Amino acid sequence: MRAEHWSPIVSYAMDLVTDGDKPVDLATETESERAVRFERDALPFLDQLYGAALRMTRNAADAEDVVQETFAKAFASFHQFAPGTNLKAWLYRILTNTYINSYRKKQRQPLLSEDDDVEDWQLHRAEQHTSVGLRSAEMEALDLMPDSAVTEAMNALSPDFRTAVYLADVEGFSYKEIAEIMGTPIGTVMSRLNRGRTQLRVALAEHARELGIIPGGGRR
Amino acid sequence: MSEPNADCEAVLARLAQFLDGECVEAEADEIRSHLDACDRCVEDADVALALKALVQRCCRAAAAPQTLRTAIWTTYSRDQRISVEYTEITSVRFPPQ
Repeated sequence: MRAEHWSPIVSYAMDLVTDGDKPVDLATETESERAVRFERDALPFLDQLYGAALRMTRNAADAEDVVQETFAKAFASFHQFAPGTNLKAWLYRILTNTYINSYRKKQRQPLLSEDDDVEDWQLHRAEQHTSVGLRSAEMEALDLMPDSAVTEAMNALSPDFRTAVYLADVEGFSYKEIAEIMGTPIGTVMSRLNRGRTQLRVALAEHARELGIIPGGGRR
Repeated sequence: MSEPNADCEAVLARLAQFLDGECVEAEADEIRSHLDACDRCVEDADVALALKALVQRCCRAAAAPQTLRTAIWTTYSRDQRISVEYTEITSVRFPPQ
């Protein structure tokens, strides 16, 4: 397609993407060379993709299925991936789509608000200083917080909020990458992150009070 | 502790972006200089950072189960494929008489 618009030399140079030591020429790459590249570049993401799938689906069996399907789709369309671009984000986009299309529909709906338009009292005047949840005087409580409390709080978020928080805070993706992975505008990513984090914070503060890690109840 | 002011509101509205490294440098500088002077906003920043760190600590990728690892590597690893091909070729070359 691009060859029609560029001189042969430029076109050839565009196809010759430097990938590590040796350039990859997608036009002449054999299936077996591509398979080698897939093994070398994509398979190392197995653990990370499984971790993300586990967080999204909330159970090990579905997570395994999502990851299997993700690798199958990635392998089948690996010729469409431009070497030298962001492979990790590409794989996460496939993973997220797989989860949304195949698994999310059949799963039990979460307890907390599902979509981005839901009125959320917790965000009422979000620009105010912390009035709900944790304050830095209570930061020590976070060190004592059991991992299970945090994963439970994450699991209670809606899938969109949970995925956005996971991609940002655990995987360290940029807003732009998350927008591409989730197929939404950046503004939606920011809104999901904001709401997801606020709900997490409220849930953890509540948990800390129940455990007696921090005193009191209700708003400060 | 200083009283909250209009600057606080503007900073808090962009605090998440700042902490996520999503502000341009000029904007980040503005926020930093406000944080230098405002204990309340620093406290909010601390909470947000602690929460990020906590989520990261607790939700770090679990290792894939061995069954999944084996399934994936059996399907996509070159060494595994070669052994499968070898078996197939062998059966073609030496068919039962």
